[in-house]
Amino acid sequence: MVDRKRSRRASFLEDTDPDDLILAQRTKTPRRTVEHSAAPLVLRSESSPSKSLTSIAESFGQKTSAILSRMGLVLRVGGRSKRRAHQVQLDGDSSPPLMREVSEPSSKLLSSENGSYPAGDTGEIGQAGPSTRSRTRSRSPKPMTPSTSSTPAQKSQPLPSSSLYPILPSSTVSHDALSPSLNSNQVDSRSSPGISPDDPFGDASDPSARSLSPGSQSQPQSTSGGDAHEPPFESSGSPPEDLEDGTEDQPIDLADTDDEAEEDSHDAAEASTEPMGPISLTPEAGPSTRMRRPPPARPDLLGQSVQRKYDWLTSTDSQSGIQASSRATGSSQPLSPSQKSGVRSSRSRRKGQRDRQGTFKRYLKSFARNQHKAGIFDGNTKRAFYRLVHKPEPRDETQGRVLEWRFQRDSKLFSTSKEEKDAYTDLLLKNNLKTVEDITQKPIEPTFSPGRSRRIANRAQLDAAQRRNPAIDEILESFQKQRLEDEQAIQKRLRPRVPTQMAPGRLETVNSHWKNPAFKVEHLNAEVRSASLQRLKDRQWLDDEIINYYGSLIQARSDRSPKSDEKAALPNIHFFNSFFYQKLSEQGYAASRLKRWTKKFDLFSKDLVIFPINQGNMHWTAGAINFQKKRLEYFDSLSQYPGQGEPVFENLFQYLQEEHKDKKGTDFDDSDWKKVFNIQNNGSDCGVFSSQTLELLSRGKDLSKPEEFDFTCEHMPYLRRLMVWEIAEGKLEPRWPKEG
Amino acid sequence: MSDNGSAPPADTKPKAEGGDNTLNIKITSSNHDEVFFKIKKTTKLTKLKSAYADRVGSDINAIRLMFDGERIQDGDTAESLGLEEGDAIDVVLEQVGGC
Repeated sequence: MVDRKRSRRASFLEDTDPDDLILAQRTKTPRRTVEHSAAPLVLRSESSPSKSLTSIAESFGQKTSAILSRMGLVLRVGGRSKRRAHQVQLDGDSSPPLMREVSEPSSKLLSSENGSYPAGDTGEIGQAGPSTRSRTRSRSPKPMTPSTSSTPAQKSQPLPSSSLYPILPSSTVSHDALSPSLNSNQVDSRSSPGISPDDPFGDASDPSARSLSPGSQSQPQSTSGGDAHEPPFESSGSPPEDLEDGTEDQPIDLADTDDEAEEDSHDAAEASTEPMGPISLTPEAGPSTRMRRPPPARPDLLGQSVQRKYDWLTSTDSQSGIQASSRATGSSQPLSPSQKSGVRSSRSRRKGQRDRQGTFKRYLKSFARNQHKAGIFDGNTKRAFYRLVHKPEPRDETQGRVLEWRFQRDSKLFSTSKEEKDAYTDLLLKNNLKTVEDITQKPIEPTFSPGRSRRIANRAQLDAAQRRNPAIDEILESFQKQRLEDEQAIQKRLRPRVPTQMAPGRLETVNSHWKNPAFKVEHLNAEVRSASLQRLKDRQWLDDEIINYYGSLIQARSDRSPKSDEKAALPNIHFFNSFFYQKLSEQGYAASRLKRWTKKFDLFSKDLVIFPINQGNMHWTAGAINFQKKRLEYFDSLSQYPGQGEPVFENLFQYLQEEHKDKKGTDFDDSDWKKVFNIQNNGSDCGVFSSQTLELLSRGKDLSKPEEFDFTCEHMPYLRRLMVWEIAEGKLEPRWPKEG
Repeated sequence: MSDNGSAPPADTKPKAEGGDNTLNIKITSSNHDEVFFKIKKTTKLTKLKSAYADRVGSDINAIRLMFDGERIQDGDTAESLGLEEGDAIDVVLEQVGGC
């Protein structure tokens, strides 16, 4: 629905409901004020465009979506669904100047200049509004065809179109060629009838126009000039419409034939409607031939513009036309005169030019004034302005063209470049037609944007760093230290640390044991002699005697632990000596007669079975079968990789299976058994490590958590001496005495 | 002692004589080598150990005798351990490790 052509001044979207009226939206200039008498719609310029749009929409009682983007305006009014909403889009050509006006103080000046227009317009518009609507509805299919149903007012339509231009005052000069087509396109004429010719400018111009082309215009109305105007428009832009309507002659014919009738009607309409109309009309009235003559007399712009206008016209519906007209009435009037003049090209050119020049001069002056006030009126601009303002009257058509070209060129200084406009139009029309409401009222959805949050965080950090107060840092530091100390104290109480130094008295005893060649202790079925004891000196390898002896001590301690006291009770363990795993892994369960190892007790009644594992006569590790937690455990102080425990687990599962089959006669259910492998990298003393690991296990520690290992490398010298002490004493020391 | 160092042929004799006081036992190594001994029930097994070491030619301090998973200490006798006719005593070598 939306016209996508660049040169469109405005495009409209049809709405299902004709009542919905779309107003051209001018944000700031008072002349944008548009009232639709029938409808409650009132457009008023407001400080902020978005606001004004919203308010307008509200005034319509409709959901308005307005698109306001860089340089253009798209106003949507009253769609039930977005697609169906009325949409008025100001094309790239027209919108930039409009926007500039809006944004610049000059616009105000313009408005002041044209001020007469706006005021009159509003009132007029309001009046015209209803009439236009009705007409439009009736004609809805073809807004252009004023002649058929519409009275002169319809004919006057072209004029209303001109009204659109006023919206874009700055652009008017450059767009002149386009403007006529627009005028024709806009069904404004419908509205025009209602509209009264308030604009002083238009009036002023009208008389002159009449005088110029009196012959053509027969009608008494001052607007007769407008009639003259129409024919050219029709010829250029309206033909399709006319055809549709059927009532009206084809554009070309109309120019000739219609002149009078149309002009008459137009005159009336125009007179009432807009000042612009009259001006344009007057020149045209004279020669229909001129009308036929293609507007292209001027450079490309004219022809293109006309064509585009045509497209626009065809596409737009009556409603749209109406809307356009309403708009035009509201905002366009100031521009219209100049535009019309441009349209008339050949015949009325002089007049039109003069009129336009007058308007434009006024505009320029005001603009210059504004610029000067704003202090942005530099030399180049000034010169250009001078040229524009003091543009000489063309002697003939040729010079007129030249002047026009220069005029346009200069005027471009004050409007955006064509590329820019085109680019903008494309941008606006192609996609991303987001309305202001879409943007502003869309609920903010929390989105995951790590980059953004990171940036925010970084900024916050920077801010904080800048604001940081050293005093606060100190305080925080002290707090941190305090907290650390507290934590340590708590930890000390909860989990006494392994001492690193042995009491001097005991140390002597240990040393004496080491020096005693006849040292020999027996415990249960284990014994340790001096030779083995020497292995507990620092960095010595341990042998099976010590390991097994120590294991027997662990076993004895667990056996001694009181079963009645739940808390003090140690797990019910069984300690296999270091040959258990050797036999299991080397000979297997049957060959090594491992079943006899457990003939005196029930292995499966134990909470825990622990055993040291000698790896290749070089390395001590610790294994455990935890019946309580249903898991196999393997602890290696040097293991390089977790998979190292796999063979151990395999063997142990095998053992459990066979043992269970042998003792219980059934298969062992290992389905929910887990494997625990943990590493304690203390680099040496694996024998000590293994012994102590077994000791920890015997106390029911869950060594799947690394933090449960309460000893590290630094404790090894102490632990070695402690083991000497314990071996000599034949019992384990309590772990660990609380410090202090 | 006379009990020590009996060779495989000794096996046959003990069986005959095996009545009250003596036992025929074997010592099996992890290599499945078996050495048979005829011992008195009251003989300290230290003698058995040294005899085995002599026989095998190993350091007596480097071997341990085990019966049913329990280390046989110097003071133990066949009686104290509850050894029976034909029981096997495991012999294992010393284990060291420390890396």
